[in-house]
Amino acid sequence: MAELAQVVGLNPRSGAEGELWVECDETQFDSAARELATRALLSDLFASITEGVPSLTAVFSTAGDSSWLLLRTKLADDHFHSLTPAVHAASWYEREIAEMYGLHPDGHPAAQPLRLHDWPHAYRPMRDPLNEMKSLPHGHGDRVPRVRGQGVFQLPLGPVRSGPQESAEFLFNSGGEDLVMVAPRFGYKMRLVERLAEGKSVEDALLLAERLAGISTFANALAFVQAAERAAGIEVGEETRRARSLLNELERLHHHFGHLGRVADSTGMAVPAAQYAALKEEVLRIGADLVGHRYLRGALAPGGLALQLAEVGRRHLAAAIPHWEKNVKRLESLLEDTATFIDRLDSTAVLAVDYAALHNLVGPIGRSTGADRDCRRDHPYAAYENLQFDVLVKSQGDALARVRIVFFEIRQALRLVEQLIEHWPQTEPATELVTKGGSALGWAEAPGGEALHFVELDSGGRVRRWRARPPAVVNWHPYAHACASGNNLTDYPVIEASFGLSHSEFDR
Amino acid sequence: MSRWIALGLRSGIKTTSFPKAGDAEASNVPTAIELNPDRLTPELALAAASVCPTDAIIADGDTTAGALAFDMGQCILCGRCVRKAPQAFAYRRDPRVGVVNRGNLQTRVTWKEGRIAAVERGDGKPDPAAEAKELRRRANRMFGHSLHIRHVDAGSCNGCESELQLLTSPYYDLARLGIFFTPTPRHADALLVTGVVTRQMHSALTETFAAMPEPKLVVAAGVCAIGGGCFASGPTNHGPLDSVLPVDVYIPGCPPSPSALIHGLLLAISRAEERHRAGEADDGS
Amino acid sequence: MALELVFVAIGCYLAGAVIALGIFGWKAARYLAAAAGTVGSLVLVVAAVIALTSTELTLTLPASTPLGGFEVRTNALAGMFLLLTGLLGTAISIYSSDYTAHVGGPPRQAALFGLLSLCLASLVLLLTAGNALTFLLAWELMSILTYLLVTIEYDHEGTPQAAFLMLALSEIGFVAMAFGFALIGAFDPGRDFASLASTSLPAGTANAAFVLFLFGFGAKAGLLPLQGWLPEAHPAAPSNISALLSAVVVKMAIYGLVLTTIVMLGPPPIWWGYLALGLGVVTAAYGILFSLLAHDLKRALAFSTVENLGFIVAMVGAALIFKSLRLPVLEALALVAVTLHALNHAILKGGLFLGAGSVQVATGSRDMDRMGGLWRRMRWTAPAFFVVATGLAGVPPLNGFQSEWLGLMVLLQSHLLHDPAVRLAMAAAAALLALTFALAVTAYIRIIGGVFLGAGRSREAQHALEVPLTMRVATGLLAVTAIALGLLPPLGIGAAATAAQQVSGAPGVLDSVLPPVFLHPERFALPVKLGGTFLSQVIPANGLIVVPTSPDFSSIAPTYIFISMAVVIAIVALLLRLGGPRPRQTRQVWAGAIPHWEPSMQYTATGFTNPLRFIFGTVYRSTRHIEGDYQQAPFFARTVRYRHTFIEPVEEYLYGPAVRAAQRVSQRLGIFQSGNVSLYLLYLFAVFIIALFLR
Repeated sequence: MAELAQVVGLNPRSGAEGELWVECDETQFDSAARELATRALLSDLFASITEGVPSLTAVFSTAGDSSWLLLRTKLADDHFHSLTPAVHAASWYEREIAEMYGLHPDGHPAAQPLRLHDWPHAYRPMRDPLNEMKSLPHGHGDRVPRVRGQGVFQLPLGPVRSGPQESAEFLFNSGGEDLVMVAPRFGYKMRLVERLAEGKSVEDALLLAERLAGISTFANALAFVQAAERAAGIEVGEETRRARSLLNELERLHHHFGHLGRVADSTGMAVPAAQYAALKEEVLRIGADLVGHRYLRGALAPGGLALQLAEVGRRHLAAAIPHWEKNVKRLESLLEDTATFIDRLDSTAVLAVDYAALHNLVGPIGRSTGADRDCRRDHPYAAYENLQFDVLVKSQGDALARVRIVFFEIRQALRLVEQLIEHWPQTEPATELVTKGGSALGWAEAPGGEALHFVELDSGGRVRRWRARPPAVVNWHPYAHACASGNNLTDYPVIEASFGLSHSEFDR
Repeated sequence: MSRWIALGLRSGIKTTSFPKAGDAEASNVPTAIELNPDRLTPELALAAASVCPTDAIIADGDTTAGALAFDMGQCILCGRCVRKAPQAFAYRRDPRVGVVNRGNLQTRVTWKEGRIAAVERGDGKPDPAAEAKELRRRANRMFGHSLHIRHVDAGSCNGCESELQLLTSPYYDLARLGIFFTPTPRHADALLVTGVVTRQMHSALTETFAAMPEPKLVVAAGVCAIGGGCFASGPTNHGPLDSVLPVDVYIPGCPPSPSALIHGLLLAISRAEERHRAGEADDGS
Repeated sequence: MALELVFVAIGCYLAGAVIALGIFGWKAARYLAAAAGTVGSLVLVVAAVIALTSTELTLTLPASTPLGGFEVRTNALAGMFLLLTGLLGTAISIYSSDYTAHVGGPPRQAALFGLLSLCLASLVLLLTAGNALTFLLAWELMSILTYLLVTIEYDHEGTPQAAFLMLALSEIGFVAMAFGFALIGAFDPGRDFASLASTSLPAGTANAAFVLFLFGFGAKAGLLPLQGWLPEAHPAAPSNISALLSAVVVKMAIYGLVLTTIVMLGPPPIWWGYLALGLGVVTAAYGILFSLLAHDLKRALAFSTVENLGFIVAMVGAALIFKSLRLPVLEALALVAVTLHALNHAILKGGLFLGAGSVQVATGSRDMDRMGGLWRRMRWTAPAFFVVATGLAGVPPLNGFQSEWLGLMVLLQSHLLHDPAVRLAMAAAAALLALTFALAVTAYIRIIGGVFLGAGRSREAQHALEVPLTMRVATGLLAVTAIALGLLPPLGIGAAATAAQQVSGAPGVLDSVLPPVFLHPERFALPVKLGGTFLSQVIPANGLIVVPTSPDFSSIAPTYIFISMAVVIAIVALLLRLGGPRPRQTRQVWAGAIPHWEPSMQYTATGFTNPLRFIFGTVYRSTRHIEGDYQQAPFFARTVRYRHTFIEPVEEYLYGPAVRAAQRVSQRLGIFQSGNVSLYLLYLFAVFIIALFLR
């Protein structure tokens, strides 16, 4: 990463371990970011206010290098030159910056709000006083793109949808049975957790990070706590790292079981849906045995774990692994053999490799379009440096590729858990409080992909700025395009289930 | 297809017998915090209040005279009070935590001259609608064996949704109790709400409620819906659910386990009884 | 008596044409012209009823030409078609009084009324023609008058071309028809239709004549492959003329077809029946398939006319088959289906086109994708349209179902025959017709739903106003007639059976189809036990149970179905009323609690049948294009456009090449038109020599 920075003409300084920082002015920021985006991946782009001055930070990473490059510039006024025409991956980040901070990206082709529909456009939730928000009138909705043609009509889905599902709105444009265009509208679940964390201690903000999303609780909390630890310079022991990897994989298992259960349900296969749901329940119960909470909340603390992993949990886990392996193998082979299942997934919602590459996708969705990224391998954290596992990459980009990658990840997660059980991590509860200042990145491979968090602590160890970028923030970007690639209305539940993305991660 | 049927048959029956009998496997998870006022001292009370991240434990005054307000409806089960004051605060593992009266989740303890003076169960305010609510609950027996639920996510973290989705899994099988999820509010008897009520979802929520025919129930699942949890001060938070809709049953938890959800739903249709009466945990069977 | 009334009717029509001139000076004269037309039509109805019940009358007129004199006559078959002309004429005349105000200024209104009256008069002359000369003269008059009527709105895009296509194909048919008549010696002196019916012809002549007649009348009836003009001309005409065309004019072709092929040509070889049956069935399927894709309301109705005419021609084919197998009773049954469906379709399609005209006046558009929500805004037109649409969809117990059902029952009688080829042909035809009728239900659900239900999809639909009284009355009149025909089968079936009896020569057709359960209850044990004599004191008829062949095979009693439906609905309504007032709440449509619901969030008529494009892909060869305007391709679309294309196989593979071939040939022949006067003189000289030589 350092050579790359030099190539672009920058002189970085070191921040926390593995981080390279560059502070520059706006023009240099613009040209350097564009240049870097052609050779590296734009992992995040966010704004913050330091002593009343707005600034932009861009985070870059590249394949084969475990370090990160952070590019920061202070803005003179409430405008900046948009990166989007050259770097498409910046599009949604800039829209979020515009609506949250009121910093307008000049030259952005479509800078309408990302989550704040029906809001007064003059209000800036991350900057303006909170007590003003309650008295704001509702604005008028922004224009929804429409398809023109004889007989084209629209079908609204949501925000209140069918079963127990998260709230989000999708507006379909259809000619009658075919899906011509899908216009998603998010933001219904926005709780503004980033703002809520400001001024809180790391321990209190950790409670918010755990509740960013339920089924990726641990990964987001882990990314946050690692960011705080790196910012404050707190070291974490080897046993703790192993315990954290174990819990990370356990969460991956229950998330993926739930995901596959929904995919099976969407294709009308009741038996595998029930089987995967039963497997998910078993993993959650073991999580409860281990740390006292099914979704692994309350397990993390800065510097380690908040408690010791329970012995009864270890016993149950060791007994369950062979049972899970057998079931997973059997289900996978039966599903691969079921023509109705495979047919509905094959060539459904295709994301072409070069189109997807422009969005810098992460996780299983990215890997189904050829984006070979997994931060357990690329930026090792916790104990992953010393563990054996493989990463599967496919390039078809359809629902079948996504599901096959999830099959593979489940088997890898089981393999990792087996390695970790062999030498059971003996941990002591961490009691250290964070009292030092600093800023750093933290990351973890959530079940949906790379969760990247950035934390700025003030001198008392309180959170000044928390930027949470769970994987869904990136992966929802190409969704509308994937839906419109020649699919029917009846394919839609399969498309949505095969992506398996979280709305609460996106809306935050 | 036949191989799937064979697989299903071979997998046997995993369904819990809850609520007919206790669910031993699922009951190892903390579902609530118990306050034992006999072991409480003013020092412990103030210490617990200082570590509680939400408004579940609020204390004012000092060690001489003061009061502690304990509200399960705001408790996110972070466990700090149990670690800080284990003598008075302990985990409860019985999933039967749902209540009909909001006050039944609250306890108030006052002390004078350094000693515990009074313990009030409930929120101390007489509930004028209590009797009417109880009558309605008994009347809801008519939903007894066929309850259709419309769920609305008003701004949750999707943990509650995950638990709700597991209600139809083989381990819990909600349908055996005659309870089903329905996609349309027109066919729904009960509205189950999760999540803090965000500004953005407020009108969708009220519209869904209005689209349901009478008689209808409202169930608040999870502390986000009951009191906001750790998002209570959130800027987009419209307010607790009972400030928007008339709530029949409150199910605390973060998230409430599937067994707790089952108990809460049965409570709403008068097929189960409250175990948290006036803040006191009733361990009778 | 009937002939006198016919002349009175013609006189009323001519009077109406004269009164129409008064519209130039006094706009309200159109009401008088309409009144004249109404009176004439009512008189015509009476004449028709008399013609049906009495014997044949003939009258020869003194004028004479080289091809013979003029002759008029009435008989039962003509009476049937006079009946439908009179009924439609009444409705159309009433409708026209206010509708013509929307066609244009006084000159156009006068032209419309004048031509309409003259056209009605020519139709009457056509039906009462007794010999070929009168027939062909009336036919040509009708063709030219309808052409002029279609081009009345010549400033609308596409109308002149559509009318020209109609005229061209009509003239091609006319030439074929005239040749046919010449072949069978209809122009020989003193040969009228009655004498032609009793002479026999050599096989070759008869075969050639049959093909010419089928082709010639088929062109007017919209039979494949000459149906191309129908979906163009019927929508282009003003709606009252569309009704006239679809309801009456095409039936003239049926009349001509039955008159020539069944009455005049002798015992037919069986391939005549196969040809007519096959063409008819394929036309029916073709018509409904394209009706399902049309988003223009009148075009969809026009294709439905093609479908129904195909069915009628198929039944003519069935009659020919039975005639060749010497089964007069079955032949008569097939003819009952022919004439009955002609009558029913006329009433129903007439009502539909008049209703479509009302919708067009109210919304200013014919595009079903921009309509919706008219049920509440057009409180009189909507129920009338609904009745005639469900009737034509073939929903029991209305009249459309009765004739379609009779037709299918007749085809299924093939199980009694021995020849496997006939059985196969008829079974296949019945199957394809059943598919067509099922698709027709879809087509009409689509039309009713797209036009009337839901919410208005355009500002015009949202602000539509109900049309003037006369237009409502006319549509309602036809709806009531449809209900009456459905409610009382003796009305329609009685007339049809009389006509069929006369044509086929089989006795007792009426008693066979409508058994005299009332008159001879002792002979009908089962129907009587099931209550078949109910209403016997009230209704003077044979009975109210329709039996195609034998009660063991099938039977239906539409009257009793109507009555039971009414009773059940009344009981339920009464119980609901006795149950006391129930709390009612009015709420918004549930659409997932979306913040802003718009009328574009409803299925459109085009979207409703979109899947059929792919199911019947081999016929439609449908393609789909999605194009976008991007701000930065392939991202940030500003607008996205969605386009469908499909082909009409006959247009694509027959008309197109034929027209191009004709153009090539005429270009080659153009060398004869050199512009050189001396060459032209040479041509004249050559023709003179040849004529002398031939003499």
